[in-house]
Amino acid sequence: MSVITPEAFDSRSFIYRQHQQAEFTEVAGAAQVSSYKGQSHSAMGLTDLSVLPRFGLRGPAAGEALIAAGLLHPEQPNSLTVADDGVMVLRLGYNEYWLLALPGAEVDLTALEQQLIGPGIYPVYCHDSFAWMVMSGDHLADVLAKVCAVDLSEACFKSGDLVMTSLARVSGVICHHQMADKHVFSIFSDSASASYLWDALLDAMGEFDGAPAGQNILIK
Amino acid sequence: MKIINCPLNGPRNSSEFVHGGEVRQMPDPNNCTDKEWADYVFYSDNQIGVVTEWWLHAASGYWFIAERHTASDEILRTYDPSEIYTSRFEFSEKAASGLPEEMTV
Repeated sequence: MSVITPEAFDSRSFIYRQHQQAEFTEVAGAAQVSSYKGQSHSAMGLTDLSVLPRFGLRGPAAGEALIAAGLLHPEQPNSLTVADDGVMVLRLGYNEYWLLALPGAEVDLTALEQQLIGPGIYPVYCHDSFAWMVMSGDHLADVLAKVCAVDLSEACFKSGDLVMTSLARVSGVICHHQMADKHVFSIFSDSASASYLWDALLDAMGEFDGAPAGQNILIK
Repeated sequence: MKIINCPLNGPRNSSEFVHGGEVRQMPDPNNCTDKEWADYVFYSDNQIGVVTEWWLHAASGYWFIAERHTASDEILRTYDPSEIYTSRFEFSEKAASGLPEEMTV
């Protein structure tokens, strides 16, 4: 079996050069880090899921279209839903939605994207312009408190909530949800600042025994 | 750090916001004079008192309206633009383009 490398694919994560000692697996026509070699278990992990499929839509008819397609519709602005098949729907503001496939989910988002078109719906390109990082571990709020002014403690920021704010001085979306029965924060930020944010978050996680982690820890 | 209360996202640091200028009544672009249009686009009243302004929450790309006192810098109220703007404005093409009506200096 040949070794999978990011360079073998045209589509790559914005920070693929920063994944040292990584073992990759092919996901959606790109190389996704599955694990890091020689790494012992660390209390907190940061996983780069930027290559995983996702798309967005917005407009006055977007919400109705999601319901008609049988997707779990987040009822409140700035909230999210996760379906059993691994499709996560983020509702950003009133009329914008992002649909994402969680690691290990076998869903055809391309077919769904074709289905969700029509008058009053406009596409939002959130795949090639945004990095997707997932922070896992027991000190999520403690780490984010170092880089973000919004209170993200469990009492104020429950699973299913999302906030759009600035973290480590760059704009981003922080989502609280669960993967493989673990509470995680998904963080979306502009691709141009992905490299900086990856290092900044790892630096903030340092005191809580944080390290890069592959997607295997997020799959049941 | 000053706090601004975003109608969508809640109280946030003012560093997350961008000022977008005063909310003003737009003159009819097809029938107003160039001076009226220039006044609308380029000039602000700059008076001491309560002004109604556009503000952008940059992290979410959300525009809203705030009432702010220009002397105390206190933000008195923030609200969604749908309170004022209830329908989309469509610009119609000008029927005939002629010479400029007047020169503005």
